[in-house]
Amino acid sequence: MKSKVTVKNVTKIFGKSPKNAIKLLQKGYSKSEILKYTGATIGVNNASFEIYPGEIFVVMGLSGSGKSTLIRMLNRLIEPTGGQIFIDDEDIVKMNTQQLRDVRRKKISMVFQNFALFPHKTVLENAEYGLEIQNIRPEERKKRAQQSLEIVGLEGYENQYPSQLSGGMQQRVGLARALASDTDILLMDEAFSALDPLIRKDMQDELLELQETMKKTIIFITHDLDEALRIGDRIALMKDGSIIQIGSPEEIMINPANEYVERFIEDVDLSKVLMASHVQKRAERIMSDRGPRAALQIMRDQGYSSIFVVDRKQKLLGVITADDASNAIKENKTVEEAMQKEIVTVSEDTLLIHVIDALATSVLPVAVVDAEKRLKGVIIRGAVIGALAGNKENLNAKEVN
Amino acid sequence: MDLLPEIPLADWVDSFVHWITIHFQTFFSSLTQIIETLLDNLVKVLGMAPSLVLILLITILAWYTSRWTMGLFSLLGLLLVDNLGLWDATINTLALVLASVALTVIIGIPLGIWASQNDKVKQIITPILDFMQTMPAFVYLIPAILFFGIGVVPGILASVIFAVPPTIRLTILGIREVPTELIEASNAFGSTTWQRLFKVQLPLAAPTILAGINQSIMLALSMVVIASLVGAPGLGAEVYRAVSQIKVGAGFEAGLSIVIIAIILDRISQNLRKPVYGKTISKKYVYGLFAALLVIPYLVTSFGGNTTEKISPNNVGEQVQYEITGIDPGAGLMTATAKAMKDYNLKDWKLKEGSSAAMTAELQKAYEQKQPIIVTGWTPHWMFAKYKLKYLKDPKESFGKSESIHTIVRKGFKEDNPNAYKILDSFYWNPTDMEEVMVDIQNGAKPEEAAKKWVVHHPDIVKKWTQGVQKGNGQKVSLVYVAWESEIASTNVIGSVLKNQGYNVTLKQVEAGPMFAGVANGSADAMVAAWFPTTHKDYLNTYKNQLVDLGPNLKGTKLGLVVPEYMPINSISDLENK
Repeated sequence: MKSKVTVKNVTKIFGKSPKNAIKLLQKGYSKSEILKYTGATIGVNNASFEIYPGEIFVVMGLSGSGKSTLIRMLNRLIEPTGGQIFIDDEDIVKMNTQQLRDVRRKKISMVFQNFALFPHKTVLENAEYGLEIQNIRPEERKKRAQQSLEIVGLEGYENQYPSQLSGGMQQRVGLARALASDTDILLMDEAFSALDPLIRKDMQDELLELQETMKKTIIFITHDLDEALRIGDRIALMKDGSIIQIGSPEEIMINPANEYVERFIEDVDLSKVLMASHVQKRAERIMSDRGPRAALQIMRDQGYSSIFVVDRKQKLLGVITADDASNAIKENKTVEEAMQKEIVTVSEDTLLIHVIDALATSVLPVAVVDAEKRLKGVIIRGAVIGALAGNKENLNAKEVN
Repeated sequence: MDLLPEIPLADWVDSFVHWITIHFQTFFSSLTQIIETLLDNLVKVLGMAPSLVLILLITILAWYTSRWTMGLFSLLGLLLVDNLGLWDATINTLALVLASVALTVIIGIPLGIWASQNDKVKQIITPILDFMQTMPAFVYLIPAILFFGIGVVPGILASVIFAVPPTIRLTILGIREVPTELIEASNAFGSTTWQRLFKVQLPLAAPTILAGINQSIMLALSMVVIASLVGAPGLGAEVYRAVSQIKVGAGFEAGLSIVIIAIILDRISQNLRKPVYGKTISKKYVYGLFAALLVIPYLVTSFGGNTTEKISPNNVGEQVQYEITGIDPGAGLMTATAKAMKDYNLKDWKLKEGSSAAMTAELQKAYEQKQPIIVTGWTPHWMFAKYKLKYLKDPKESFGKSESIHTIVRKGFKEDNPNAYKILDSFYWNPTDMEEVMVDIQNGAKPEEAAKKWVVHHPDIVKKWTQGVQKGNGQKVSLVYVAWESEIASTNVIGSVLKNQGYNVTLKQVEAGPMFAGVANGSADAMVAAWFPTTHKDYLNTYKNQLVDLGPNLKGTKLGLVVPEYMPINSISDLENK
């Protein structure tokens, strides 16, 4: 896939002698050593990555890790000390003021941590701001601002002032302002961090919902790992100005690049990250047109007390236990007649927390199926418990996405 | 101290100002002309309708912006001012303040904006602002007189210099205080610098900037009294006149009027942005109406009234704009000049009030450019030594005959300090002796040193004063004097003599009124600076019974109208319009 944003070897040094600092950096000195010798602070150290159209790319790190600096270099609110940043193949680092302004107006918009709404403007005027400075006609910009306010669910609040709204609603205004410019790229700098946890979760859900239809390229900064895991298609983890790992949430969970990442993800509630696909085992099955003797034979050979029944297209029809099979032999029934059709299933991307619910309600094994109800695997209790305990042997290494 | 020669800083400043005066003459006179015209028109507009109309308009504005109590206060306060007969002065003061504030805003806000966007500019401007705010306001007046003459223009410009710092500072502060995140948001959407400034920074800084303007208005108002020293008309001049004549009541009236105006201006300007009744009637309409009420008549006055009569260029009166440059408003010389103007029927003429320093500055300026000028003058004065000047003949003897300078001591001084009393009593010298000291001082010597030098060089004269008098023993003697060159000279000389005789002498420079009041109430021991029978006649009448007059210490002084020799007139009667 062709990338939307490409960041190549971007570095930001704050302070008076960036050249010396870069030299030391290349020699492998640490951030604190460079601060001691040159007085310069490393903001971002040689970051390179690509962001693809329509993905939510989360940059994640603790405060001081350089993530805010990094996102601000994408629209040059902060000038990079070195490196290239391509947006649709154009290097914005080389652009003059006029070109840069056009990029900011047409291609990238931004949502801020503390909303950054203009207190002297109404909600509507705030949403109009990006259009107003492009000198778009008042009726036109009012219409577009109105539409984006509707998208974020703020119709009826147009003439209020930001101070009259709750935090969550203020950030909706911030989002509407960014959406009104109709840019492909949306920068979100800790956009939900200032909101309380319940509102934050609602906003995350809404963002994901909006993203279904809008398909923007979103670069989302956060210090909250749960948030990153929840909304990120891919996550870049930063520490001391360097990107230490880029990957999907699962990749980071399953294969932390180093001890730092491991420690970082240590406290994550695995049941909310890991999915059925990570713990599922190959499920023994039998075609529905086979006889109960065959089923019983397989169960005896493998040491199972039940077996799934599928059709020729691998679609799950039901489950048959050893008892069911014995009875069927006596009563001369087919497998299809003898099997139980009421079975609990989960899909491959069901989070473990929901898988546990399914396990609790069913005495029979839980099946993993895809959208066409084809049997993909089986959930074994021991594997779930092992995975939640952090035992990697219980995880499937294969990637889902 | 003596290792280094004294740095001639004063000389440098003098030559610099002199250079500017000469080279920017045209610029200054046209600027003076412009500001004077603008202000004259403003005064005309404000004084156009009967006082009651303006009072009601101000009341409405105060009511609208700051609640009905303020409206009521404005109404009663202004009616009181009108009733006290100070309405014309109030209009002059209002015009002065409005003009100063307008200039302050025009200069201050753009400078503040510039400095807020550019750190270099801010670094340069900040120390200049500190300098402007701490330099005593009087000091601005000195070059202002040389550049712009005496009258209202130096007053306005000094007010602007004094009042502009808060506007600049608070504009910078207001803009810089806009949260970084809002600036980032504005930039992130692709604003230009101007869009960011006008759509985000200025609207958010507006309350702070208006607070700065409010401060500037108050400072401009506080300058009107000081500006009256160089002849700016208005309530300040009333105060100054009252101070120099020790008229407590009149001073209180004028002072109270200033307070009333200050309170009204303060409250209106504080609430201008969020008027109390702003929700009932939009401020756009109200301010629009008031602006129209001010601007339309202003334009009509400025462009409609070009009917000034033409007078033949040979006429001296036309050349000097029918102005006689006077000194401190309370001085007897001013009363005498007013009498002379009446005697010679100089109805179209105006006597400009100011101070003796302002008068000599005007004279110096005119003399250097061979411009016509008429001043009120007196002998002994160094100006006669420095310039070629002549008295205008006074056939009607309006200025009276020549005067004497008397020595006056407080009651009881003779008993308290008989020896010092004896010396003061025998103090007597000639105008030529005095001018010897004055010229030294004018040439840059310190008064004490010039006096010491004279005492050393004239032991015979000094001996006459001190003969047979017992030496003192550190007793305190305090002398008061006015800052006229002649009085500085005589007081320093007698002070020097008393010091040599073993007294602990202090010299205090005051205005003429306080000088008499001080000796009369015993807070000063003596003065050698009382001009009789004309100049200080009023004071003598007031304090006659509380003073002891020791008779003249110098005879042969003279008062009158003085012109440079190059002027083609010789008598006061030449000024009359025939």
